[in-house]
Amino acid sequence: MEGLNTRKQGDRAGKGQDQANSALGDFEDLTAWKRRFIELGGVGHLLDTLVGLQIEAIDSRLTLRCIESLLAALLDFMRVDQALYGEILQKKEPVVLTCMRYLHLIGLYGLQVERARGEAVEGIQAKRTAKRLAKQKMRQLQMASLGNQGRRRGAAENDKDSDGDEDESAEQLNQLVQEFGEVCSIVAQLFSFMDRFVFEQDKGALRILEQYPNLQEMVTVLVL
Amino acid sequence: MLARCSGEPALQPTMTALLQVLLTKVLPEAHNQERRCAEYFEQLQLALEELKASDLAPLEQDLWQLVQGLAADIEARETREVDTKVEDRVLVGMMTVLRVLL
Repeated sequence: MEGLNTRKQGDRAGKGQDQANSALGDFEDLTAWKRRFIELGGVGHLLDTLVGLQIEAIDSRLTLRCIESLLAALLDFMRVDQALYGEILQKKEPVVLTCMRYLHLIGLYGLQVERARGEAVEGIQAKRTAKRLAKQKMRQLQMASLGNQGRRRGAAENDKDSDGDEDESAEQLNQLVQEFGEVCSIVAQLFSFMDRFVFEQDKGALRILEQYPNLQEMVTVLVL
Repeated sequence: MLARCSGEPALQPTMTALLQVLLTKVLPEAHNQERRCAEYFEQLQLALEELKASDLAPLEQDLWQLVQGLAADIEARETREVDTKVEDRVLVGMMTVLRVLL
């Protein structure tokens, strides 16, 4: 690993390209740096880290992001050297069981977040829709009982009243949808990692799925 | 993953274990998750449609019970669709699974 982080001495005040080059030390480009990292056993180390992390529960998005970053780094290196597939296959059992454990923990984390919030995303969405429909109905009733001028005035006032509520609710929902999207992305990456590097190479490895100690709970928390 | 196991005799036990979880363990739970079961039923439908009849053979007895249970649940389910805007996702899901299984 020596030299990987070595930075060129001298003027670093140059343009972006110069800065990027200096960050790569003696390496010609990023690919060369990655190749050296692989040669020195860096990917093996990353893989061991992935399967060796003693995570008993996911209690924050930080932990999720760590898993995501680790996976992203592994995927990045796998693109450089196809021979690394063999390295993953050698450790297929711990890799698959670890990915399943992470998926299980992510599912449980989702439920925990939902309990803390007191409401599911689907519930908030349904409430928002019901509220909007009720307002529309109310507006229609009001319009029906007013004359033409009153209708215009009434519609403008109603819009003003409802905008505040709508904005707040929409903002809350957007934030939740964004958070949910992040979690879904990690779940998809874990499945894709297992599928691409293990099951696609060795179908027989699918038998490892049966070994997972709490398959029923894992599937339930993930799919519902 | 189910699709990868399909048609592989060596992977039949894995397929059976996964289907057992999805159909006999998770499906009853979906009845209580009206707002979030749509995706489950959709994916289950897609998965079942991809499978071969031989993949389901070891579960024949379980599936027969499941078909009977689904038919009874559909018949006994209270009407929730009060207008065209309300959809009973559990009912729709159960009917879809029943159709695929039959």
